[in-house]
Amino acid sequence: MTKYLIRRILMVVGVLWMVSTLTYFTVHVTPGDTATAVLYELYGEDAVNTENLERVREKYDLNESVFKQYAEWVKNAFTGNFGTSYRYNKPVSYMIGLRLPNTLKLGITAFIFSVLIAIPLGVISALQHNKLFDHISRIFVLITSSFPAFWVAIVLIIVCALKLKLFPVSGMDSPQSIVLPALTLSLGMIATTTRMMRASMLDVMSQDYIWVAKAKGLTRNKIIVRHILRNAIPPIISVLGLQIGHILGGAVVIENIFSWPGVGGLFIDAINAKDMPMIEGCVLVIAFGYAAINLVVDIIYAAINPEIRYSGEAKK
Amino acid sequence: MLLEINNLCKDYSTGFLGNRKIHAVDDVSLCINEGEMFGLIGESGCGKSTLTKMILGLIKPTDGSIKYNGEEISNLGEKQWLPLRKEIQAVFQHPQMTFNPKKNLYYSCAEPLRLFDMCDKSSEEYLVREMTECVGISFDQLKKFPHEISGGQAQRISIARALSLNPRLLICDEPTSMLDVSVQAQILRLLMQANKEQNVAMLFISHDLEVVHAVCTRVAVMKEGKIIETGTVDEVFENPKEEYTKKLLNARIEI
Repeated sequence: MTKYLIRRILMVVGVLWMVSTLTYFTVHVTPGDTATAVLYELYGEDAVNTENLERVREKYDLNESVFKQYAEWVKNAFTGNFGTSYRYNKPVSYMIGLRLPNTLKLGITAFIFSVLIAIPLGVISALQHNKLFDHISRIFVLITSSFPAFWVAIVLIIVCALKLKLFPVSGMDSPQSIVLPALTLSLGMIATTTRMMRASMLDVMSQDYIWVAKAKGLTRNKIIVRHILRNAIPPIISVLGLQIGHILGGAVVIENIFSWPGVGGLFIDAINAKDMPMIEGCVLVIAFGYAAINLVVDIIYAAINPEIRYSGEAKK
Repeated sequence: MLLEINNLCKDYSTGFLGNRKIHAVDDVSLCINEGEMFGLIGESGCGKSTLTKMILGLIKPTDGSIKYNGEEISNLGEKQWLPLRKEIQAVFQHPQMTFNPKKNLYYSCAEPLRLFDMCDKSSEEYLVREMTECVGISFDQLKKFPHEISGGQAQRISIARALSLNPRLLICDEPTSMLDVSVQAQILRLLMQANKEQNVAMLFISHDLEVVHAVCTRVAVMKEGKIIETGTVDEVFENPKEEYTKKLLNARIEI
C-alpha cells in the first residue's frame, strides 16, 4: 500500500511538471509581447512606450532567454516560490490562496448538486427500465447535456435572476448567489453520471447472483440495497472522479459569466495579460486538483472493491 | 406429485415495434415426483433457463399452470412466495457469478439462514461450517471472495447454500457444464448423495447426455421451447421415438 501510494504521488509530481512545462512554452510561442500585454492590461494603450517596456522587461527578467526564465521558474517552484504576478504585483501563491476557496466552494456545491440529482435519477431509471420514468429521465438528461453551459447560464440568469428575482445575477454577496453558477456547472455532469449509473445498475441486475438473491427469497428492497447498489456504485465512483476534473475546467468559464471571484477569473485575466507566473500557478492548481482527486478516487475504489488488490501486495 | 407443470408458455416480444413474438417456452407439461431425479435435455437456447426461472417464480408465465404440492404457484406474489423459497432452491450454471462479488462467501452462505431464521447468531457459524464441510470445503475458504476460488469450489458452495435450507425440490440449471470432467463427477456425486440422504427431488437440466444418463431416472427432451419426448432414462436412451432425440444420441456416439 505505501509503495503504491509513493509511486502514485511521484506520478502526480511528474504530471504537474509536464503540464507546467507544456504551458510555459505554449504561452511563450503565442503571438504578442509579454511586456506590451502587461502594460496594456494595467495602464491602457498610452502607457505602451519604449521606456516603459524596457522597465517592465528589466523588472521581470524578460530579456533573458525563455529557457533561462523557465529554469529559474522551476528552481523557485521547487522551493515553494511560484513567483510574483506581473499584473497584480503580488505573490502568485497569495493571489491563488485568496481565490481558491471560492472555486472550491463552487465546485463542491456543483458536485453535490449533480450527485443528488444524477444518482437517484439513474437508480430509479434502471429500476423502472423502459417505463415512463426511464423515458422522461432520458429526455431530461439529453436536454441538459446538449445545451452549452454558457448558454444555460445566460438563460438561468434571465429567467431565475432577472424575471423571477429568485437569485442574485452575479457575484457572491449572499448565500443564494451560489445556486445559479453551481447548478449550471453541475448540469454537464448530471447527464454522464445518470446514464452511467443506470447502465451500471442494469448490468448488475442481469447478473446471476441477483437471480439467486431473488430465489433465496430476499425482498426487493434488500436486493436493491445489499446486492445491486453495492455492486453498481463502485464503477460510478471513477466516473465521478473524472467529472470533478470537468468541474474544475468548467469553473473557468462559469466563474466569468457569474463574476464569481474564483481561480477561473484570475486565470482568464492572467492569459489576457500574458502574466506568466499567474498562468502557471492557475494551471498547476487545476492540474493538481485533477490528479489528486483521481488518486483519492482510485484509493476509495480499491478500498470498497475486494476484487482489486494493489499491485505489489497482490495474491497472498 | 411434487411439481406439476401443465401447458406452460412464455412469449417474448422482439422486433422493432415489439411485434414479433418468440415462444421461449411453448406448451410444456411435465411432472416430478417426491424424491425423483428428473432430467431435462436440450440444446442451448431451447428455453430451459426460461422454464427454470418460471418454476422459481422469477418471471411470470404467459399461460399455463405450475402446481407445487397440488397448489398453484405461478400467480403468487413476492410475499406469498416466501415460505416456498425454503422448499424450492436452485443451483445455476456459472458458479462464480451466482455469488455477490462484493461479499465474502460466508455472508452469501449465511444470508438464506438469517432470512428464514433457521438459527440464532451463535449457532449460525456452526451451521455454515457443517454445511460447507459436507460438500468438502474447509471453513477457512469462506473468508475469501468469489473471485478467489475455483469454479468447482464455488459450485460446491452454491450447492451447500441451496441444501442448507433443506429444500424438497432442487432445480439444477446446467450445474456441471462450466466445470472440467473430474470436478463434474464430484458435483454429481454430491447431488446424488443429497438426493439419497435428504430425499430432495431434482429437476436436472443439462445438455450433457452422459450426465443425465448417470444421474436421472426419468428424462424429457426439449426442442425449441417444446417437450418432444418424455420417458424413463432407459426408454429414451435405448429406444428413442423422436428423430431429434435419435440425432442427439447419435451425435454423442460419433464423438
